[in-house]
Amino acid sequence: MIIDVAKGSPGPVTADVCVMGGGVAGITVALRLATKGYRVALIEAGPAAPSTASQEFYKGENVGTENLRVDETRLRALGGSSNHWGGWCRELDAYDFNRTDLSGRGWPISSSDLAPYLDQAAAILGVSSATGADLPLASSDENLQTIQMYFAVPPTRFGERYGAALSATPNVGVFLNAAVTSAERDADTGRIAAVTARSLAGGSLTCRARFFVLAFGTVENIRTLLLWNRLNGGLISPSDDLGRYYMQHLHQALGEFATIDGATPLPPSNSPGNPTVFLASTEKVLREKGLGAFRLYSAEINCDALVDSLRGVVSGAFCSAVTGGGRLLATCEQRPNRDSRISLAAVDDAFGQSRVRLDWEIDTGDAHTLLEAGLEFGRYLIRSGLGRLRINPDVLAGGEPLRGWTALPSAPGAAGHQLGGARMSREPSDGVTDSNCRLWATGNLYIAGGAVFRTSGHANPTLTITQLALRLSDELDRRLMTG
Amino acid sequence: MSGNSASGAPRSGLSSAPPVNRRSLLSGTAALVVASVSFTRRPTSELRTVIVDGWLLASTDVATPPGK
Repeated sequence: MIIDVAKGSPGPVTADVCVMGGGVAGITVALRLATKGYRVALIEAGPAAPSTASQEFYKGENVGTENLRVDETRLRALGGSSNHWGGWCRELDAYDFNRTDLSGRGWPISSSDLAPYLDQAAAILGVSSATGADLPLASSDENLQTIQMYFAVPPTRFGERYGAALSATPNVGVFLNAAVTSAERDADTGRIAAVTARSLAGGSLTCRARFFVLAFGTVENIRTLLLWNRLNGGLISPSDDLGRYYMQHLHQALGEFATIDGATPLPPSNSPGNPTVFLASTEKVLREKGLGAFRLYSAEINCDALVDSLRGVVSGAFCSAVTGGGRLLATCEQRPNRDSRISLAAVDDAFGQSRVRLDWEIDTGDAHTLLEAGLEFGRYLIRSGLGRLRINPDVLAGGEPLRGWTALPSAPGAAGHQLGGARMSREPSDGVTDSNCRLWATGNLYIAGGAVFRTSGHANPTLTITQLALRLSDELDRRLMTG
Repeated sequence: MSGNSASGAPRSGLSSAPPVNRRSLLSGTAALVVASVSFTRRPTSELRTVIVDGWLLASTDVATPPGK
């Protein structure tokens, strides 16, 4: 059942679980719980497909380093940001959950907690396989390894792929054009009792449920919690960490490399196969140097000027062996930064609610990761006799690398992977959500999505988000069964 | 790295084309292996580098005067 709230108020809604947000995480949770027989209300702020009018509500302020507008990185419609997803998938590495050197105590879960959900998450995303061994380099480089990325081909658009299933499932009610504007907190229990959603056209609904799941996407989840805190005396999530440790993947051109005798040290970024082999950091180098994880790939360039430059610093004989080259690109993990923050702007949307203010901050540690990623590749070229690397001056200088962005025109400084802001923790004093993605302060409110990430690794996050959504569904199943 | 705008969607500004050419893992790995084993590896402990005009070079690269 799909109901457009813009066409009228559906009346009071009662469900076992109210899922707010119809993107990858929200649809995954809704359908998983529905198959177990629970009544699920899925409330989507946008329409069935992206529209300019709906995107207007995602406008906000970018005040930090992020060069992607907040109304362009996210899509407010059924299917959410899967509507512009590129289909890249990879699990987080096991050590990503234990980067105590980056995030204090590390995640409260491990890779083994998510492993049981890998195959199903891959199937939901349309990836035929997402498992394969990462391999050491043939040259036994201890700091770099080959890894594999997997692709959904074509990328799964969740509204198109699962709209019919949502409509046909009798115990799921989907409510479109329904922007959740308030939450009612039970003062005695501290639990969420109901949420209210409105359409600009005048329709509204109130949904009462035993459990509530925020699945609006990282930025909107945080904005919603901040707005609810404002309405409820700060009691929805009193953690001072709410909105903090916002992370993106650093997406940067590190330099250009010249290769010798037909060597191909990196895959091109514009023609990935499935799976595609990349070079990436090893755990060893990350821990030894305190770096964010990184992976490397290349883009084509005209090598004439590059060889001219190389000729100025090495022998002509060496240069005569150069047969090609490329631009070195990297996707890197950002070190969690408390000052990197999602908050509320002073400007309101059409519902009179504060728009979001995004302040993505990077620091010298991130610049260090970018520089070391380049240096490790350059050393690899030398050790393996493959070629030489010229490092971009801004990366070499190690300061404000993203302000000197020089990558492909279509590859901005931030990768569009919005993570953190409600990070998981072992204790309430160290985060916003517990190991089951439940808000510490509110017994029946959960987060599905990237906001709970404590560190990001270098992997594109959608696969992990889907694994987490499946695991959350099982947690809700357990709680619903036990009353 | 996240993706392309869907038809009718607002411009995302994001990158990452979906895969267009299927190339097997083996061929990708093989390319790396073949390229690597063609040259003698220098152990990390023995590698000494210098940076000249942005180029990361082995110290032995610059034993010969530039441009010669």
